[in-house]
Amino acid sequence: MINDFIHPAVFYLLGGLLIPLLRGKVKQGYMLLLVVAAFLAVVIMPQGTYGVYEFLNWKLTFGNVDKLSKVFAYIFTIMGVIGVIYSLHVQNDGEHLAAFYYVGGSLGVTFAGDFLTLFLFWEIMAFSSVFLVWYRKIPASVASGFRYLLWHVAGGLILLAGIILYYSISGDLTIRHLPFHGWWPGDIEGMALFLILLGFIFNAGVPPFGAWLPDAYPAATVTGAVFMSAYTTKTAVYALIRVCAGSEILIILGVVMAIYGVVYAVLENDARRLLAYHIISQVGYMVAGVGLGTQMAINGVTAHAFCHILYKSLLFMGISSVLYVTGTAKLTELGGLYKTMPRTMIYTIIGGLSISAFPLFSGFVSKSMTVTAFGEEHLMWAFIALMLASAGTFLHTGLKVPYFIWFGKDRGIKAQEPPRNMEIAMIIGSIFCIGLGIFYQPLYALLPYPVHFAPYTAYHTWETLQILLFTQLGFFLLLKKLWCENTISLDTDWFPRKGAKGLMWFSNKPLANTETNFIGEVYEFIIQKPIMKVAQLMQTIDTVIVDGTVHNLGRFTIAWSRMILLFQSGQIHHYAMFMTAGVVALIVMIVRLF
Amino acid sequence: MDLSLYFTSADLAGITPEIILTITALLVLTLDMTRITRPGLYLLVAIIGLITAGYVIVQSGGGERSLFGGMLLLNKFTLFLDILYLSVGLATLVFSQGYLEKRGGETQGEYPALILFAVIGMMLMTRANDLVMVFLGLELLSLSLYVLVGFLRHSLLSNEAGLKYLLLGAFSTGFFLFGATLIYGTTGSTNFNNIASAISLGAILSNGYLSLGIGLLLIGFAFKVALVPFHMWSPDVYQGAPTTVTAFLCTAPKAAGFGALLKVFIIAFPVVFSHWENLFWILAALTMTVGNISALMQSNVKRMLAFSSISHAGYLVLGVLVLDSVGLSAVLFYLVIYSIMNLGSFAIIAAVEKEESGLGLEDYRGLATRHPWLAAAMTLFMISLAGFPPTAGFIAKYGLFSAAVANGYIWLVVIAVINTLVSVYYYIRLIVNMYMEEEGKALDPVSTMPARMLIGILAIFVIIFGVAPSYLLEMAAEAGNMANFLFSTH
Amino acid sequence: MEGILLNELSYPVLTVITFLPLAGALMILLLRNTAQIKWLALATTIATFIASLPVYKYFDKTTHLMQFVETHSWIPVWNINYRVGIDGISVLFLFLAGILSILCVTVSWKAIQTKTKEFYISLLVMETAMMGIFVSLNVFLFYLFWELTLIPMFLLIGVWGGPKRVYAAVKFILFMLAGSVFMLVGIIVLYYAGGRTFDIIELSKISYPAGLQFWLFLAFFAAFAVKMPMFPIHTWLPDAHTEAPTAGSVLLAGILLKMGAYGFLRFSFPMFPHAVQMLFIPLLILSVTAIIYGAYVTLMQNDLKRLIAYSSVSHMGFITLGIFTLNQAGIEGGILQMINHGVITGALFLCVGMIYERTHSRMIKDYGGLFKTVPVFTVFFAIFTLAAIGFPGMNAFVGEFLIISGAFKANMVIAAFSILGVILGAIYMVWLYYRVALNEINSTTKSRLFDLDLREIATLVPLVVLVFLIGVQPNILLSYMHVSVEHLLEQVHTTVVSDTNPLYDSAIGIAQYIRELFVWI
Repeated sequence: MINDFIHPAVFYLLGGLLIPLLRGKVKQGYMLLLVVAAFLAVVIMPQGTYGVYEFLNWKLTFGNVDKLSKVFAYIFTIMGVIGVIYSLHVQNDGEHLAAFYYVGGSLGVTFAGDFLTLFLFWEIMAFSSVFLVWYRKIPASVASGFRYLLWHVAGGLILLAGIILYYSISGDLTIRHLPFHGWWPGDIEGMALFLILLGFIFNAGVPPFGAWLPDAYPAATVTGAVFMSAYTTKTAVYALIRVCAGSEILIILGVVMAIYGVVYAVLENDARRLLAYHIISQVGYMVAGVGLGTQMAINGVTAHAFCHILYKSLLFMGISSVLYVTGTAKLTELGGLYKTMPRTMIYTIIGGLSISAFPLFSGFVSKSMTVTAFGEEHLMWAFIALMLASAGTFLHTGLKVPYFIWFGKDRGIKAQEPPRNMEIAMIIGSIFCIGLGIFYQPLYALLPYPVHFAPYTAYHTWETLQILLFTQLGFFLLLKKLWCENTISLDTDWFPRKGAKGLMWFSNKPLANTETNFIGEVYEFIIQKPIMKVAQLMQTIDTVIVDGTVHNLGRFTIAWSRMILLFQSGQIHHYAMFMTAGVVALIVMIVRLF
Repeated sequence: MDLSLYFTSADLAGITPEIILTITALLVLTLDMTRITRPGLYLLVAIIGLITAGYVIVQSGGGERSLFGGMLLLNKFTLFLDILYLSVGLATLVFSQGYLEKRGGETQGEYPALILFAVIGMMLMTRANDLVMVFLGLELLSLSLYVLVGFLRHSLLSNEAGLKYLLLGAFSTGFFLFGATLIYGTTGSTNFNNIASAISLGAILSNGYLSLGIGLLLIGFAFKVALVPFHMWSPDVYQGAPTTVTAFLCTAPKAAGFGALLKVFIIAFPVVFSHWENLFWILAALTMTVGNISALMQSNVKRMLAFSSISHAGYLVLGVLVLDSVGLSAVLFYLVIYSIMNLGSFAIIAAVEKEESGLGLEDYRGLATRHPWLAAAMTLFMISLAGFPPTAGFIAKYGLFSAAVANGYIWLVVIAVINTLVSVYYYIRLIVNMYMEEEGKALDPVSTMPARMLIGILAIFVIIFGVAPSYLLEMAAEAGNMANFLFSTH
Repeated sequence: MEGILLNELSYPVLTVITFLPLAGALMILLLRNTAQIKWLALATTIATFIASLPVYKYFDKTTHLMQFVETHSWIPVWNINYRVGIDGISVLFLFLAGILSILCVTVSWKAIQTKTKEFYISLLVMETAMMGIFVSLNVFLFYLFWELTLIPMFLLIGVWGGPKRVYAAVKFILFMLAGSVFMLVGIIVLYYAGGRTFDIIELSKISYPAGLQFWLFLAFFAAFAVKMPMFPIHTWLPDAHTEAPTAGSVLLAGILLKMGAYGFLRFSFPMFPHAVQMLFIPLLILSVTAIIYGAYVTLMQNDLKRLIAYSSVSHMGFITLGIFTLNQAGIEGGILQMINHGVITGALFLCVGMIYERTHSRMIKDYGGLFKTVPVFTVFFAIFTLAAIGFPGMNAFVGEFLIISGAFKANMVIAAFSILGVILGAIYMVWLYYRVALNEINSTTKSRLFDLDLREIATLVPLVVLVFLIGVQPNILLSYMHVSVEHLLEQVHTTVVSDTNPLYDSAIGIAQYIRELFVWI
């Protein structure tokens, strides 16, 4: 029945437009109404294909509903509810609008049935989310927001290139399963698929294309970070599942991501950037799973994305509340908050336990499925790598963050619990985390493929606990070593810092805060320096050679003119002489003629 | 005694215009003797004379007529040019009123009289069907011009110009005469038709003296119309001469020169012309290039236009090169348009000019704000000279280029268009000064009411002939038919 | 007369919309009061636009034949007729020219204080010329209008322009002529080669020998390429755009640049198909060079107008790329993109002009934080920036999509490079927006800034509407050109029966000519 399908994005994209017109409680109520309605729209929607429009000679499909798109739609709308509740207190309508369009965009992508529609919403997401960064309204956030946008525009256009190329080969724009095999595009079609894949992993935050992620998220607004942590990467994961499932290259990338994220998180000081690195690490699991592409892996990835959104947002909400209350998220400046913000502490720890895949928490039921999928495919190296990564994860989200923020040295910071709406959001998040950890069947029921996996076998549980306990032990032994300095992370040392100096890109921006700086330098070094070098070269060519040629032509003519005018001396005998010369020349010609 | 031995009443009827003009000229001189100090009056009389002459010519209808035993040959071609001379003379007189006082030349009767004599000379040049007649006309024209150029007796520049013109003119006259004699020597006649028939017998076709004669004759003409390398005199003379005289000098005599040249080559040397193509090719290329390139750096408007008129002569040679009815009509049309544009621009120069100054480009700054209409007219003439559509200048240029391409001179036309490109630079320099530079020193153009009106009319002509040239083109085509007619007779 | 549809309307619509502005200009000539002049100019442009509306209504989209044709004898001596008519390729440009002219008047309302009369006269003469170019069915008439654009634009730049206006104006006119004089020679040769006619329809039916085609193509190419402008003869554009007053820049970017591309479609393709086919790879390379080169140079600009000007070089590169792909998608995309570029770049120039009126600075470094100071303006600016980037749902996206997919059909490598151009394009536009709208507020200019007034908003809104309308329903425009483009392609792909190498022949020809010349001396 066509009329059962109401595109949930409609509530966000169109409904959102009214927000600026409303005030106070009415506005808050209206926003809640919208997001809940969107969720219900997903609940009631039957599977099938809806909203097909003719555009030029292409068919645009806005509503392509199957199990996969539906489960993602569920979590996106649920997250929408939580996020909106969390940000109810925000006064800036622009921020609300940006958030709504951001979520709407991700929903659009979820239901897109063809590449053009996908690309449309893809871009809407990029351009709306950047405002979530810019509305922080500090120079650093403007700068990193700008970089964020450029990354995404570039990624988007690579995706577009892939789409167009694919279209010009197949003459078809419908989204279908197009895995990219091998390591490097062999033929034209391979190139098309490769470009599409590349476009996706830009958004998935695969290093080095994911440099934007730890750069932008910490710079985002208190509530913006919560939204961003949930959507961009997971939308990319969804797209990867749809299109690229089973592309081997993703396994490597995923594992690398998982490790990479953890490694950087270890020595990170800004709590929100630490969490950002964790997104990379967690998404690594999913990307790897997509690369594996077996039914179980896909199930695991989907479930993991589902849970990840919940606990990661919970963590971000917790830390963001701390930021909101205390004004900083630096571990070195925090400590001993258990006295003043006990409830927030509890939520955060729940989130931490979930992300560390502690049994009875949501992370466990999803992550273990993903990891086991590798075990079943006998990809032991990946299996072990992922296990280690999860140990690392626990090491500092489960232990380090709580330790430094809530316990550790009391710095006597004035603080209290955050506003009520924030807390409610966190409560909802916590309930989901625990609930899914215990009653996982409903989640499994949603998954695209039938599930033959029981998380709570003695083996899985024991194995996980083992790792976690050892990690815990290690943490307290190495506590001194892990005492983090107020420094920037490792990877600035990879690049000569002077290389970035004196470049015009952000010369007008004082990047005092080293913490937001380092991606800036990576970015300057990799992207901007070559581009601007070439640009300068071209500029010189344009002025010196191209335009210079014209000018010299002019000068030459003028010079010639001056030369000729020398003959125009005004002396009559000169004139007579030239005329005689002319006569002689003429006679010579005539003689030659006859 | 019975004069009818020597000429008939038909002959006299044919030269009525010349007679009228002569009488008018004499009348003006007599008035001058009666010490009537009303300069306007002289001009008025002269103008009336010109108009009547023109009326008579138009009445005659331009049928093919041979007078005085083949001394003169009247046809549409000559009629067309006659009208041109008369109108140019008329315009010159209109512009001259008030100008000469400004330049401190006492306007006596001589001035209009000399103009009239010059006009007569030109008419004879083109009506002539005999080298001797051509020479007489040429001399009558030249002598009057020598005086006119040096007319401002207090101005050294003017006197110098007059002298230069006289000396160099004598130089060229000599060559012309020498050439004529050589031709007479080889063909045994000075009458165009007889020369042609003598040549067409073929015996003397390869006679070097004949070619030498033609060459020298050509030099005479080349000097008159200022083709490179016989152009040296023109910038100095144009600059020194009173501006109104310059206007006259660079339009009508050029037309006469080309007219006579064409007539000589079409009637007398149609057969040998093929030998001369490349010479004309080179003359054309040289003339337009040198003219334009030299004009680039001129800061004196009169001098700049002098060089520009040289380059225009170069374009005209394209038409001569073609030498069929199309080319001929193209040349005639071009001559008309060219005269209109130059008369107009020189009239404005005359208005802006002051005692020995006011000729620099910078003197035109702010003209657009003070005298928008004058500036607009000047702009119009300039872009027309540069050959922008939809002005007459473009149609004229197009006619020439098209004729040349039709006869396969594509590369010459390419050279010509590149020259056009160069020329645009100095033409728009004037526009730039009038519109785009900040106000210069105060300028107060003085011009009489009729002069202003005439400038307006000329400007309107530039537009009209730019968008609706058909009528004039057809007249030119008719006049150009002479070529067909005469070629067919041989 | 076969091959055309005569004008069925009750009045000679094309003649009216072509010469109405000229009539307005003549009336302005007689006025003295500045206010009257402005209002008359506005009335004239609007009237012209309204008069043109029936054309779009009664236009027959099912045929490639010329429509609304009027023929009158003009210069019988040279067999020149006044003949106007339009087909699917030209009709859209009338619309664009009509709209932009109105906006040019409104945007100049306050900006132009000196020589107001001359200004609006030049503007209206420009409109006549622009209309005329797109309706002419006679080469001579076409050339007339083609050259007629020069002097008014020369005055617009030189009289009301910025500090370096004279240099820019002279450069502009010399470049333009350098191209068009060769076209003039080409036209004359074409006249004789085509049996002494100037009628475009007649000339398009004849198939010319390959060597001739080659040279004629080059002759016309000179004019069109300079106008476009194609790399490397583009250097007049930044100067002209930068120094011109807002209205001038808008007309330059909106219409004049399109004349070149239109010329290719109207002359080069139907008349010299052999040459086009022979040269299309070099032309594609030239286009993609322009795209990337232009984008790179744009990155380095620190002058608002100059930046947009250079971005035009890049965008026009896209248009030529689309046209020379010689396939349906590419050419349709190219034509559509011409309209889009006219709208977007025109709008951007309008925006820049509006803040320039306030701050009298074009330097990017003098701006920043406009987001906070002039929100309304910034919103418009944002919309047009996104459009320029080719944001989906906006007009440029459709055009670029068609062009690039056409390019992929024509040549993979070149298409791939063009993508790089798109990315660079996004970068410099976003960066521009970042520096102007975000960043910190620049205190020096802040004091002088105040937000748009109603007149300015009214100026921008139509373009916003177009941006989204075309973006969502491109078929509105594409449906006009579809049949004509198909027909054009048929003409292009007609094979010429000649296997001689024109380059070689022509070279021989020149050699002989020169030999003759010098043997004689």
